[in-house]
Amino acid sequence: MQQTVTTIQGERVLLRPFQEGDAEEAARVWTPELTHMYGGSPTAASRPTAESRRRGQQQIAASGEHHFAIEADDRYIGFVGLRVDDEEQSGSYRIGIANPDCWGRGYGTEVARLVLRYAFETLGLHRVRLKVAAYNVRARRCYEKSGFRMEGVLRESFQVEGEWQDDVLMAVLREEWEAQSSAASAGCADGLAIRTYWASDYDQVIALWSAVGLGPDDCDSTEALNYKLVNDRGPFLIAVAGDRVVGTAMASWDGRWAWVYRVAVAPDWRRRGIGARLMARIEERLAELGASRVRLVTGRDNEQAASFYAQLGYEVRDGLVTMRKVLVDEEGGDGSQYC
Amino acid sequence: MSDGHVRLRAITEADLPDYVKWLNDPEVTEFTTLESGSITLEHEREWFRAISAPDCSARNWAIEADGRHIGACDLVPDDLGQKAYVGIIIGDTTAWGKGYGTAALREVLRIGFQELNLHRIRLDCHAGNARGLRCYEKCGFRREGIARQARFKRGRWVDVVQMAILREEWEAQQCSRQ
Repeated sequence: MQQTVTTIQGERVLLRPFQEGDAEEAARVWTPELTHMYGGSPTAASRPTAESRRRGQQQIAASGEHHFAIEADDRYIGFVGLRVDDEEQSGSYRIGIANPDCWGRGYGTEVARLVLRYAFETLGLHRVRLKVAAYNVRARRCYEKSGFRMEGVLRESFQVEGEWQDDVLMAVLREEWEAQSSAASAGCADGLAIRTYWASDYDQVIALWSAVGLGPDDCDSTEALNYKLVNDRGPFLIAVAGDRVVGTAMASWDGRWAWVYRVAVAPDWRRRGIGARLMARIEERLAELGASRVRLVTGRDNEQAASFYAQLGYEVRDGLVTMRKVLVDEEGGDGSQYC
Repeated sequence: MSDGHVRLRAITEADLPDYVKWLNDPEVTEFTTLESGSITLEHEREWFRAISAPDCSARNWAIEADGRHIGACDLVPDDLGQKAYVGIIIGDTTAWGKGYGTAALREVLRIGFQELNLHRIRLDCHAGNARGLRCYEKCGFRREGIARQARFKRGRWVDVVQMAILREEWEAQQCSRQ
């Protein structure tokens, strides 16, 4: 499949062919962290020369990979590529925003959306996938926002400075992208979105849990939630209204058992079906992972929760008690009863 | 079905007609990326030349059970020689369900971890290939993910399970098997 489209104009970015001066700019803005984001060693890496960047750009252009230079504010800020496998009708996505001044400003998300539209609408692909270093949380968040879903974790997939690191596999299917883009154009009726938790939601999520009496507990550290995100394939979803996190629901899946935890809706956002929507998405994802049933624990006297779950089809199992034992008594770790 | 009955040996030109026969059997290729009907001896000769080239980093073996040629497998290391991809096919359908694939794969893992000093070995498996999944799990592979609708096979999109085994897992398994 030959690249026919060479330029795509977005709201803030322009995707265009490489041009004179891009290699110099790429070499100028390089930082070791960029190498690290790609899975290289930040301390061993040295600044690339413009010549080596030019050679790299020429190789990409000659390889048949669909590719664009990314421009923002009339400056080269990075590169995006899509390697197409015609037989599988799939594309492999990669992006590098070289200029650190442009990190964390949503450029990556805009570029991904533009390239996904190109992949599905122009090239007619069925699936776009990518691989990202598990520790590159910023990139993973960007991909989630752009519609990619986590498909797996390649354990100990590469080494950085002697330490084995995991890779995360993500992909978006044509049907998902279509559903998402039609929802976006229709505008969400109540302005509410349900999406995967990102590390940057931490403070708001903790605040929400505190407001509804769930923790925070010693099992709710940033590290603990990041660990859950990387190592457990069960979904961790939040409901977002504008910039505000108004609901959460978390599930764990070990290949055998699925448990749901931390289903919470902000008090001023209740009675709008947010909890039920979160639960429906959680159940959908668990079923996709292969879970045939799901369990949860709730307070014996919490009638509101009992009727909520009963309406969703959950049954109380008689004769069971929950048990707990403290292994390491950390200060302030008296904890919530559901933790 | 002891491992003693199964051995890996080098592939020779005399094996090629077996591959042509097996790969043209739709039952054999059901869960592979190959499609039956189009495989010729010339294809197989070309493949044999490629795997025999001195710069070929992949290792290929014929699988024998009780002295009979029943299939083939390969181990393809990455550029750094730290990780590899493994593939296996039992072409002789009368040899299915006897544990030969498991025994052959265990030998490939031994070579990969013990002789090649690999850190990680991975494979792909069509989600519908229950026999394959069982065999890989028996050998110690763990599911790492699922590439949804990643392949188009016989008119349908199929999910592809990603599996891998780490060196430390293989070593722990050797201790417990002894």
